[in-house]
Amino acid sequence: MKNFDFWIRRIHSLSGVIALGAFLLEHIFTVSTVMGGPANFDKSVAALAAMPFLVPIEIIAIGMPIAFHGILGVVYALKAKNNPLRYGYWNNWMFYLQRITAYIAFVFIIWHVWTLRIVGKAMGGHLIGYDFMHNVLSDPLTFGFYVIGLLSSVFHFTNGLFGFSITWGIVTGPRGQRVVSIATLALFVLISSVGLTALTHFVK
Amino acid sequence: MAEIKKKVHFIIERQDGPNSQPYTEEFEVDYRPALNVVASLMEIQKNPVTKDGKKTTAVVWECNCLEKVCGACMMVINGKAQQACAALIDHLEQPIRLSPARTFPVIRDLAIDRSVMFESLKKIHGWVDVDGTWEVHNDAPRQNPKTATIAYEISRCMTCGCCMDACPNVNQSSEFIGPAPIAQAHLFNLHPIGEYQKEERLDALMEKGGLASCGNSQNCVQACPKDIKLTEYIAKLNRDTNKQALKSLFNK
Repeated sequence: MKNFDFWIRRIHSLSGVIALGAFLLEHIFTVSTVMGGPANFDKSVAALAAMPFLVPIEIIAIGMPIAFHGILGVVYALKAKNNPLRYGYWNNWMFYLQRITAYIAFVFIIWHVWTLRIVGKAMGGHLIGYDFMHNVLSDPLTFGFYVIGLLSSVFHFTNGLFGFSITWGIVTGPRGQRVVSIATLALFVLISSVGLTALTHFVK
Repeated sequence: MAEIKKKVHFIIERQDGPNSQPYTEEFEVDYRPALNVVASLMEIQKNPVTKDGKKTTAVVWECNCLEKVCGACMMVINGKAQQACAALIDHLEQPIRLSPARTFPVIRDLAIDRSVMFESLKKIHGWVDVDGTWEVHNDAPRQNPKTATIAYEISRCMTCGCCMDACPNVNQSSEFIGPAPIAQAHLFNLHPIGEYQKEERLDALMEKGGLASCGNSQNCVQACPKDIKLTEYIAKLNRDTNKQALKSLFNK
């Protein structure tokens, strides 16, 4: 195919925002219903579980894009010679953090899906609800890993929007890029505060 | 009382040949006002004796114009790739550490082989085809003066390679052609005659190691000694290549 490498990288960028980004927002939104009480959270989990074609949707719309974006992303990231200590500019640190958070999110997501969706729900037959999550998150180490995993995933998504705006030629000038950079940072603060607040509600 | 002469302390990363092991040697050069790194290297060349008084070979490096126009004397000075002729001692922290820009193959000491950049310029069709269909000076298409201003800015690129050394995605294990040749594609796309090969240039940028390998670290625009707005042209070319990729997907 003509422009194969180009398209693969462009689909990598698209999958990050359209599939993974949209799911991340939906996921944090659903989880944050816990702020309205345990019953409220269990209700929204049940509503999702009642979705038709749930497993194919989980595999095709969420699992496959995550695997594609994650595996290819690691291959790309490993090719970089990171140099923020030599060239300590803001955007270079963001470039470096984008890769560090990618590695953390990669490990976190595999572990998160493995322990809850595969071992917990599919193999263990546990009902994923408030009680189950309360038990999981009551372990301080697990809670800490969730905090790190959440912050990394959200940062990787919001900072990824900055790269996305350039990759797709949406914002070209330095002023526009600066505005996007600040806006995505604000988005990081907003989304991660929601996520962190939701996490604390599980251990109350 | 004899006046103590101010010295400039250099730590230079040396290498005898393309495949030899690098080692460092320290030198001291007499300070004088407005001294720069190239002039200091010339002093070392005249008297190649290390700081400890050991006689050694002269340090090899490249330079030509001595006024930040040719790009030949690019080396890593205190961690950052820059032109040695424009690096004033007064602006540098001592000891001054010099090393070759290892993004490129080292020939000897500070001299590097930048021919990969020339190869990349060939890949992106970095020239204007003058095929003789019209008088160049009489009926040639004109360029908007505003566009000419942008073209002039990009045309000042001297292929020094600072942006290539600063870019995390340009290295031995990646195929990325780097910021400099990408910006040159934009320069020739802006040209009223050069524009005729715009499609070929954008196609070249869409090949493996082309524009899509950019990771937006934006070091290039900081490192460029000619203040070329590299990231802006990369973003513009992103727009252009996306359009062309979609066109060739649906129209061909």
